[in-house]
Amino acid sequence: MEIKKTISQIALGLAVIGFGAGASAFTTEKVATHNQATRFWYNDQATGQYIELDEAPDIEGSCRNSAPQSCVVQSDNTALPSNMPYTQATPANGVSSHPASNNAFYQQ
Amino acid sequence: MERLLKQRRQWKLTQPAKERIIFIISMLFVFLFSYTAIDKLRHVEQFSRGIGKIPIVGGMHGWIAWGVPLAELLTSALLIIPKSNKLGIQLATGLMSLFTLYLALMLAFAEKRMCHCGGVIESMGWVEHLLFNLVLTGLGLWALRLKKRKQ
Repeated sequence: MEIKKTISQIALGLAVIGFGAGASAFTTEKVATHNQATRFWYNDQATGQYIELDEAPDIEGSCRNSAPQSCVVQSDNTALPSNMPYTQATPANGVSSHPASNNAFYQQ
Repeated sequence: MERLLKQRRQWKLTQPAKERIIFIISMLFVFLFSYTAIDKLRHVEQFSRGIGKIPIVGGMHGWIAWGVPLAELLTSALLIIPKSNKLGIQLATGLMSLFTLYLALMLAFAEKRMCHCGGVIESMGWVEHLLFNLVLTGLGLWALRLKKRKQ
């Protein structure tokens, strides 16, 4: 009886680990996908503008890898300028934060 | 007085209830650690570089990048084996306390805050994250207390 209980607890534990692994893979996949035509801008606090990046940023660890490119925003809107004032970086213009960026970062 | 004692007795958890609570808390830690550990291992290079930017641990980032997720997986393994469950809860509570301390220090002193906690946990706000960790640390301590009383 005790052995049966032990085995069922271990089996349940392994299932939970599998569930955790699955959830991890699912959330990573969700974050990794973006449109090829998407444009990216980084926040340049010195000029008070978002500056366009040549390619998709290698954010690494969610928007905190390199200081100049912290807080990246993105948009599919081709009409937006390369040097975008903060006032234009709005959801109405189709601008959103990069999906891998950390909400916590923006609280600074 | 007698009524109070009777009431207290009614609120006392039964042995099966204690076991169930300990088991649920253990499984919660197993899910959380396996989720974040696998996320860290999938992006171990990024995780390592990210840790390298933390001034205190900079030189040891390679070891920490592998050590943290492996410690989380080891803790999960200890938690699911009934014989080592107590050690697992102790380790899980210890790890959560360390992570909480790290978050609290970041929140208090760091100009540019960094969290490489893995998966959706990273998308939490700093205060939310700290509360989340404190609740889990509290649950770990509660499970240990129940375990002690059980014995």
